[in-house]
Amino acid sequence: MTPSHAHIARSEILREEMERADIDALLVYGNAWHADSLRYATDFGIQEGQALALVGKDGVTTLLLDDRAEADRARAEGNCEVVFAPKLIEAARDLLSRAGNRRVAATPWRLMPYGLTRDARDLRISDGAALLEHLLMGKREFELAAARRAAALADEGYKVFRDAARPGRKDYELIAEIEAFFRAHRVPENFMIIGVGGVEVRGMAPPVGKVIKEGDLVTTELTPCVDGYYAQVCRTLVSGTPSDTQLKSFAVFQEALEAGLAAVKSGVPASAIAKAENDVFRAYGLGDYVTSEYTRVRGHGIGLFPDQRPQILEDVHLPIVGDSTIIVHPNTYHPDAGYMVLGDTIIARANGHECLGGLSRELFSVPVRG
Amino acid sequence: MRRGYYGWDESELPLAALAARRARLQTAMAGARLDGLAFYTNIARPAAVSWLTGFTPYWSEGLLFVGRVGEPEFATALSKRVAEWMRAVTPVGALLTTPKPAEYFAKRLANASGPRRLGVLELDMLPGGQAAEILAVAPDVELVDATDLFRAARLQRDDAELGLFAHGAVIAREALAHIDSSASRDAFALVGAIEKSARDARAEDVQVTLAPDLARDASFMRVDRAEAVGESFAIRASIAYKSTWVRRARSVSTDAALASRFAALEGALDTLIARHDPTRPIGAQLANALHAVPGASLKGWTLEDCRGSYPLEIVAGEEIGDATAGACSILTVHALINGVNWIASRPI
Repeated sequence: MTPSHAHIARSEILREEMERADIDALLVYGNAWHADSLRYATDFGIQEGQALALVGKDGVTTLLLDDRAEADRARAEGNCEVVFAPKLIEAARDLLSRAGNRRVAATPWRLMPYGLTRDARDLRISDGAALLEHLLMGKREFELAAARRAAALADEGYKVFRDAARPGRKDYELIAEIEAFFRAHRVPENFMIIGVGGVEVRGMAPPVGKVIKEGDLVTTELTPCVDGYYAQVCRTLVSGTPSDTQLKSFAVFQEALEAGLAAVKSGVPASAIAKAENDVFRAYGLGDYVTSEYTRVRGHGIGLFPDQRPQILEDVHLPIVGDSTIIVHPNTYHPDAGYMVLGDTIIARANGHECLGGLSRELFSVPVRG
Repeated sequence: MRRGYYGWDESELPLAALAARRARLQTAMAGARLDGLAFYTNIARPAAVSWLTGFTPYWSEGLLFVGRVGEPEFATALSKRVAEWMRAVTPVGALLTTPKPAEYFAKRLANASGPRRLGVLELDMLPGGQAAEILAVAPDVELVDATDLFRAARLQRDDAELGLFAHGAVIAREALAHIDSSASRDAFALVGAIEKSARDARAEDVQVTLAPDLARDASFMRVDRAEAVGESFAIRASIAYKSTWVRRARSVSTDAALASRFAALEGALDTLIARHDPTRPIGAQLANALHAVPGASLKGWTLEDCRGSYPLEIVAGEEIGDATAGACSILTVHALINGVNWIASRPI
């Protein structure tokens, strides 16, 4: 296969960054959970096992994979020299040794295997997060184009989800529907969790076999991946006609999302967006429900990783990077109705934001068929 | 991430089975003078923790600590709001949510009296950040690689594992049967139908990949990179059922003559799986089995099983040597027939 435009562009950006940072090579680690740095550097979307790639400033990249089928796949994609390395650490140490007297930045440092970090000085590797992290946050136009396509598929996927959410169906059957849709539309990966029920539901998680019944809230976040870039949509539906309590409760989330989105522009601290969302809850006497007891984050960065920096929290003061993609989602528990979610992926701009999704922000109602 | 069905069912994974697995390890620990064993887990390396607890994280990471006596303790960076869900799907041990699982256990070790030797499964693969957290809080703790110790205990397949593996194999077989029942030869629609079938059957995770043109090569691609589907292609389904992984792959051709030869190869492989001698190396038996199919030549093979933190890992093959096929293995065979690739995987 021919290297993609995105890979060629990212490789050039990386070379410039290495030059600027006076680094001779970049060592990146990846697995199916944290695949973003590896994807940026090699364009390989790892699915099984673990990988280490050494990217030279001269443009030569060696990708070590400890799963043979993954190595075959990477070779077929043709972006770099691929080595099947069942003894991954041994192979990486050998590669670094052969690299000679070079300065190597390694990232993500926290996940770099102990078999390498314990001899970091001898191997001449050091934490290289600073080199790559800002590239993962701020997006170029080709990256935003992929995010736009992912957002459009998220919207389409949610229609499939709504159609599937009928009383009597089990939560995992909804996942089956949506995943079949995404695979058939050539989306290789999707992050999603689900909640089904009423006031007893405190959050979303993988399905456990709950059966949808009339009146239930059904929550989900869909996060399809296109060319490595994720976009997320969070929505809540009611099986049947929403009750007044459900509608009134959901109105708080609608107001909070609007407030959060209104606070977004490049340069503002992430905390300002979280505060704008949380102030709405506090105004309705729901301040307890914006704490870590009930909610994890009020949004987060998104890109080659579905949950990247910055986390949108009142104690995170990292500035929002221009042209970064983030999701704003005031998802939390409402004591009157249960756990509700609502969120959209946006691009942060100098004067505000551009929303990538086009889905209505209503509390959806799925008619109960007789 | 994992997004399929999660659930613990004692009839499939009895508490007694989990206790027996833990007891084997604790006996081995005492013999190796280890004060504890630590197991790191994430979605790429979940298998050891799920073997001991039944739990696989759907996201994020965690660390399981097994002491010389008692139940294990699991600390995970998953958020508090999913603690209730975790308890529902994890039948044993104490559960704790903390952003720094390693630091939590290191504090415990630092406070303990006496020698402190901590065994770690696949120590070299432990994320450096986890190791640093342990050593920052408990600098006198000696980290010892416990991979061989764990494997000796892990390779005893119990009835629970055999049962989960067999059920996963049925899910995989029925999912790939869509290749026969579907009127469509749209490979991407087939991938979707296979995934739906497996998830409807309560698979915890499904990964379906496609070798789009067997006339060219037999590399399995994800759906976004599989271009130009040819008249012969292969589909591979890797399926997790209750944390136990099974793979199955089939080659398909719209050319009638080639389809008939593919069927002959499938027949030979199925016969081998049903009748193989478990006391003799599988590679040699495979070569004999394919020899019976005119025009077929063996290009490569692998045998995978689960013995560490990976759900499946290669334990034998034409590159690394022959071995007997134990229970809960996956045999993958790559052959050439009439110049076209044929590839298949089957659980044993």
